[in-house]
Amino acid sequence: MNKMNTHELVSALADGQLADEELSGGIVALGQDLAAREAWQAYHLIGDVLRSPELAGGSPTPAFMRRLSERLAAESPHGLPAAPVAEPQAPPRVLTVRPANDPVFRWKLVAGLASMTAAAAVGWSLLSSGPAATPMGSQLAGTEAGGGAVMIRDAQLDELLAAHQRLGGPGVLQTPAPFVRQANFEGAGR
Amino acid sequence: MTQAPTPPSTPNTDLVLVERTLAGDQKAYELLVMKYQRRIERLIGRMVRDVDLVEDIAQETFIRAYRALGQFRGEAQFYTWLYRIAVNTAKKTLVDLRRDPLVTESAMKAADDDDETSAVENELTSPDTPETVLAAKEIALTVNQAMEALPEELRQAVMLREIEGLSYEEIAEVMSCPIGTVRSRIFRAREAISARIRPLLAHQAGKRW
Repeated sequence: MNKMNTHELVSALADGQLADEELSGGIVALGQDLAAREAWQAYHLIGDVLRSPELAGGSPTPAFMRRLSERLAAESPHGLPAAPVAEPQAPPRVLTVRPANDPVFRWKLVAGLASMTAAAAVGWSLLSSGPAATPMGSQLAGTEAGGGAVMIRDAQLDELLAAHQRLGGPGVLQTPAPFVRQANFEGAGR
Repeated sequence: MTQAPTPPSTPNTDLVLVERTLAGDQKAYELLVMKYQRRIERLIGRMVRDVDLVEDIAQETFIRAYRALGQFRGEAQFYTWLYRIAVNTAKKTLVDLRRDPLVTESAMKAADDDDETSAVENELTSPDTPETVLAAKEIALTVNQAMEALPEELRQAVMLREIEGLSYEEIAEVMSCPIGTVRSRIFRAREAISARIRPLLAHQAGKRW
């Protein structure tokens, strides 16, 4: 085959008459050479006009191409792995909502006084009760240990417990009650 | 008006350009756009009257085609595939516009007719402005004058190619010359015509109609 210049290559490419190797070469030339691209445009325009004169009209190709190129640039290119789109990381949520009474100083004052009063009351009760106010747990522990400790009994409480034992009887239904009869399900009809 | 001849099929070139685009070469896609822009605009112009809208829909067509290019398997010709996208895009645009009460009826035409060869309809609904009509006539006239000025063997070669759609091999047989000669004649004919229309295209490029 004769060696063709670039435009002749473009002409044959426009006709789809190039072999594989030349085809690639022609496309590469079109990608690099502006004059070759203009020739590509002109050759197709000539063919269109020869077939149908009305195709001479329409939008001017350079303006159309400029606009389209801008839009294509915004598209993700084919053949390339799509760039991982970083998910917008939501900033850690900071609770910025302040209590409704936060700006009111007297609420803080009252809360502080209440805390101090409560602490003082607890402290006062501990100090004023002395050794006699030892918790029940420690009394019991001391009794069970049998270490000679005297168990403090409440006479009224003992009396109440005794009355319960006398009147309460055994636990509910733990022993056969007089109103409960045993039933036999092995009747004749069964 | 007679039906325009079918353009010579060049499926392999289109397919290669599609493959290169899919491989990341955006310029390859631009070559396809340059090749089919006029035909797509003419098609859309039969459905829409507003000349600016025609260009917008053509732009949208090529963007949609670009996005869907991976679905093009080369089983049909690229233009056939592109044609459907253009028709669907135009119809969708018209439906959207009909929902817009500000769009007047004169800006649109029924989208039902997607027959590319309805020449009468085309004449009635041409989206061209007087300026584009004048420029188109000027280009067409220049191309025809350049054709008439060509030597007979060049004119015959390019006519057999562009009008009759013959392959280089078939033209070589008709003209009884080697394929290389056919290729050279067609190229020289195109260059001669290009030299005549280049000033018009340069003027067109610097002006938005």
